[in-house]
Amino acid sequence: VSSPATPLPKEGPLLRYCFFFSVAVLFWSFVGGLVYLLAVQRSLPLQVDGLDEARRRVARKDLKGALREYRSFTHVSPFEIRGFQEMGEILLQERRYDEAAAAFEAALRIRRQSAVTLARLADARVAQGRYADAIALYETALPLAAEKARPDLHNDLGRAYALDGDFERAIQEFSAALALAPHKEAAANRERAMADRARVVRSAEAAP
Amino acid sequence: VTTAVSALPAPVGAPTLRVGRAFVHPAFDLFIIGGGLSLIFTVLLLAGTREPVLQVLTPWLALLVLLSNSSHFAASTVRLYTKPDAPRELRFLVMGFPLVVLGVLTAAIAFPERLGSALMTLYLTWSPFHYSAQAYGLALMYSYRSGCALEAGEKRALRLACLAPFFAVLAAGRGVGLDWLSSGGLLAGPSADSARLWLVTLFGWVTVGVPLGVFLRLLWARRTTLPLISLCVVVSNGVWLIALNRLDAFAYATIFHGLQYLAIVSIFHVKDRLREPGNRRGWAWHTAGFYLACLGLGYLLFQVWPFAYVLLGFGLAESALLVTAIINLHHFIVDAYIWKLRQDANYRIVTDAV
Repeated sequence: VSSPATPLPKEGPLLRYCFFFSVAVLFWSFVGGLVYLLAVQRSLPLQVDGLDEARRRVARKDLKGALREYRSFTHVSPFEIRGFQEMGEILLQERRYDEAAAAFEAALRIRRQSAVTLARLADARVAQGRYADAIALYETALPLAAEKARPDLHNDLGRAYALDGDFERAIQEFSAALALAPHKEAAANRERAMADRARVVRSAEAAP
Repeated sequence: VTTAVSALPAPVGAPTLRVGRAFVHPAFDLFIIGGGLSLIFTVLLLAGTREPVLQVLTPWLALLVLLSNSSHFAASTVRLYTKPDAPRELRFLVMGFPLVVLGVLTAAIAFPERLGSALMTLYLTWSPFHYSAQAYGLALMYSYRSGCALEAGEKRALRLACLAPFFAVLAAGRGVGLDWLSSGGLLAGPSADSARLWLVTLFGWVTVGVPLGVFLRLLWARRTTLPLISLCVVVSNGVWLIALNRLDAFAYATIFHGLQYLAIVSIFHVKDRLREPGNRRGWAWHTAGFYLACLGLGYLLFQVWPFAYVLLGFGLAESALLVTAIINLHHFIVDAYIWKLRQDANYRIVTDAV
């Protein structure tokens, strides 16, 4: 690229100072950025994502730092679903169920039809002991989910029914999971639910 | 590319369907600048070949974004600082505006919750307008190059068709337009969703129907019709902002938009360079030089600049997001000036073939 055809005008020293100051700041910003990348990260990325640092901290088990990064991301870009989804996952792992549920709810306000987010919010609700809410969420997620995710969702829904005490529906859901694909966990859960149902029937019969 | 082409002469031609008068080659102008390639891509996504197409392209997405989208943002800056007469005619933009940009960015990163999110919203709202303005400018530019003189009402109709996808994004986009105004409260329900979807469909039809209407009107009046490139530019813009958005493939729309921009800005740059007295290089040299400058600057701006703020102690999340936002905003503003067609070099390039 050749230099500009018309040289910068001589008049207007303030504008000239502004320009040269900006160029200097930008030049040293690039130098500083390159030094940081080469010295600290030891790589030149092809693409920088605002969530990169949060993910790096998760990998280093620095969950507090990761959550700080996720919060910064969601504050600046509150309409991007990824930040809330990933933050919810971390909070769920950390067993901070109320905060995890709040993160997934925020994600759902951005994309109401996200099967993954609905299912994760349902997982948080199960952990909170809010089984009826969880069941409703799993049932909303099921028709929206990809085919390969459905066996897991049927299994999760069955588990929520079982925890809610509805063993009949739980067995139906575990069976639905097994009908779609071989699923060890659903098979074991169905056995357990059938045993629980039998125990409930026996105790009901034994009651005066 | 917001052109002010009303001052251009009004040539007369035969009422036929033509590709249009190309800058490079009809196929190149139609598929790259006109967006024809993106229409083929969208058909592939809709035709049940979505999975294999995305499977092939997704691993290359970051590289494609760098080669096309990041470079196109840098291209407006490179063009500004190499355009003949820009330092004289656009003094503040050339010399003072970078400091404003640096100041706003630093303030936004320092106060991400108050300023940063507002900057993000401004960028997200302006972005579809910028796409639409570029489409309008290109459509009009090609129509004039191809000898199609539009009346004021026809221009308004064409502008409406170009802006319709922008209105669709305002109606249904997350975090912009209605969503931003209502803060997700008033318009957060299934009935509101279906109303917004209806608006998107309506604007989609406006994008396709109105230019077609203008074309038929010209045909009926036996005047020179809109060239195919102009029609393709308008429809592509609608496809990018509406269809690819809904297909969760907007990242590819940014690549096509970048490609379109890089092509047209390179043409203008190269024509300026070739016209310079004493020029000894050919078009390939100037094209390669311009593109490499854009690629290098694009890399430094998007992938390196955020880490300067990280080095100063700010988080990568706010630095990366807000650097992206400010580069976009700088591009939108610079773009609004460098394409003005006064009686200058741009004007000569557009009209040289008419």
